[in-house]
Amino acid sequence: MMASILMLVFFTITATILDSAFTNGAKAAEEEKLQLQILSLISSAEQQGKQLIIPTYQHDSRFNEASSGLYGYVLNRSGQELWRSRSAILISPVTARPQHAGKTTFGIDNSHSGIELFVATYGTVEESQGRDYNYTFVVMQDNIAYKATLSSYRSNLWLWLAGIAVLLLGTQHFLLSRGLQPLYNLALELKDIENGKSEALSGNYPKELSRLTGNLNRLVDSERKQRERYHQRLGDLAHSLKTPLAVISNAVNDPDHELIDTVKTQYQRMNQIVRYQLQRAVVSQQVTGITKVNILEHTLQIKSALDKVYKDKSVLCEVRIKKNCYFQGDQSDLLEMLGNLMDNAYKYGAGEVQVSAKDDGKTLTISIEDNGVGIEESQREKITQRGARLDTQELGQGIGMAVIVDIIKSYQGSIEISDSPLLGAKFTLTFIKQHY
Amino acid sequence: MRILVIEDEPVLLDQLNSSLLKQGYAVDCARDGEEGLYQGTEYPYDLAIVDLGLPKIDGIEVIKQLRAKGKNFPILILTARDQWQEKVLGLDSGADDYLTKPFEMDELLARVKALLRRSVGMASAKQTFGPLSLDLNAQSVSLNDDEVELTAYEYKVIEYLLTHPHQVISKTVLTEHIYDQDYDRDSNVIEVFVRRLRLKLDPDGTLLPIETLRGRGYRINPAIANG
Repeated sequence: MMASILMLVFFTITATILDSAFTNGAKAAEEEKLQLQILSLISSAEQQGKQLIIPTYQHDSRFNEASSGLYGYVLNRSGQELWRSRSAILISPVTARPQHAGKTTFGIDNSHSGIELFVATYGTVEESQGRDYNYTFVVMQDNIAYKATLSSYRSNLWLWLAGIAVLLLGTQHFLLSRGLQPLYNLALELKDIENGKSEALSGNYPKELSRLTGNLNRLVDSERKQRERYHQRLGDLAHSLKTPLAVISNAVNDPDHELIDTVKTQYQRMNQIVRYQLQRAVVSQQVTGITKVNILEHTLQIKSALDKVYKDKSVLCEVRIKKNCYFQGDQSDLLEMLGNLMDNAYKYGAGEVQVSAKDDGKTLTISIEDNGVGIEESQREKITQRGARLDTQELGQGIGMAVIVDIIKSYQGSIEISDSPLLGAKFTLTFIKQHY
Repeated sequence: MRILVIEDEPVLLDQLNSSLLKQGYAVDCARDGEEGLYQGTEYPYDLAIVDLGLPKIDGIEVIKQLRAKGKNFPILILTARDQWQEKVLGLDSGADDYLTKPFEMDELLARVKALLRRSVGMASAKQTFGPLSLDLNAQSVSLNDDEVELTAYEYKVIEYLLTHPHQVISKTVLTEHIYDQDYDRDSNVIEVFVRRLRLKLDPDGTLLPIETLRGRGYRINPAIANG
């Protein structure tokens, strides 16, 4: 739209400039023609004594025919008309004034009704017998022909310009609509996704747009997955709460039942379920890996927190992590993994914990080990499975591990349990490094 | 031992109050951060239990300000959030331990005891002072391994004195740590408790476990204070 308006403005300005250039040119041409007529009159005139003799009939026949459109006059120094051509019977040089020798003028005379005349004058001096006689030659010509030329030029000009404008506007419209068609399609497709008719954008876009559509698709996809996950979580939560609720409901209706014990166990179960699902809901599902989190800094944070909590145990925690070692992901995810694993090490170890991290450019390895009793090989796989609980007496034990496994999975990492040189358990987390 | 509880949920506050009272602690309650910060600043406490999600002033901020004002009694955080980020934030701000809601009251009482014990520098719940021994968990005092029968307030006085050995404790300080703020103070009561404690713990008059420093207060006899 803006482009079309600009184009119209441009064409108008161009047309005005062309028109005024042509008009000026045409006027100059008319002036020149009239000056030539004046020269031909002068050349036909002859000073004889005090008299200026001009032949009645001029070479250009238009001077001879009445009202031919070309009129000639000669004025003396005081402006008195000395001669006029035969054509000028009815028309007088109203606007013409005597001029000094050598001076020319050109103008327009509007004083005659119905016609417009160009008026050219030329002052000249004739010498005879040692005396100078000043004359002013005047030639007038109606501008009918000039106007006709002008109007024909103008109509041509406008016709061409309009033609070009239409052509350009058409081309512009065509190109724009062709160029913007993919965006228009994109909007339609997005609308479809919004309405649930479609799940992703099709791949048929020019390569200038493919980055955009690729990103949009990823966004839409992760949004959809997130929504599905929430949906699933909510369903999981509701369903898993139903069992303990049913147990309590049955117990309430059974008069012989030890209600308090049942409520206590079921409460523990429900509490565990709620905590687990809550934890899983906050695990960042959007793993971009673009953010970098300093591992040493966060390990030391957890260490100082745990040193407080396990002050009585006076645990010796050794941290072997380089300052420039980073985890690609969310800070809260790193804290959650380190927190849970280090907490377990503090809790189940016999006072010695070691946390280390290694980055070889391709993979990042974080290990947490302790000097506790370790974990039997038969148990290891079970622990790394989500939701598994080793010790049923320890409330919440399985939750931490399940959350860790969830987080690691979302980063496409892996977890391995082995024997530590400290003689306890060693948990090793491995993440493939992403390069952007 | 006097405990400040800052919790905005009235039912939970009530439960905490009555459970702690039952254990023999003096308890003051605050329902928002502002009130809690004021009380924590104005009165001497041995421990504070702070909920993190508080109206007016956030729990973290309360802890930070208490620490900034030089209050170094142990602080136990209660939080509904189970994430490590939250725990680290709380412990970093100056708290000493945390509990996530919902929690078992027994668990909370155990943490409170452990924190109190730690704050007075006792490695374990049991400590001996010559022929005397103090068991913080059982809340009992034994003389030559025989448990001495004490009233709740007598126990509180001797517990406070034994957990602060080598210090002269004024009657005002004792009153403040044994009673909550609503108690109408009468320092004679402390004198009565001390006299009764001397009779019960030292019937022969040979051990002299509690010294009186005239005009200053009481102190555990340095001869037994080192265990």
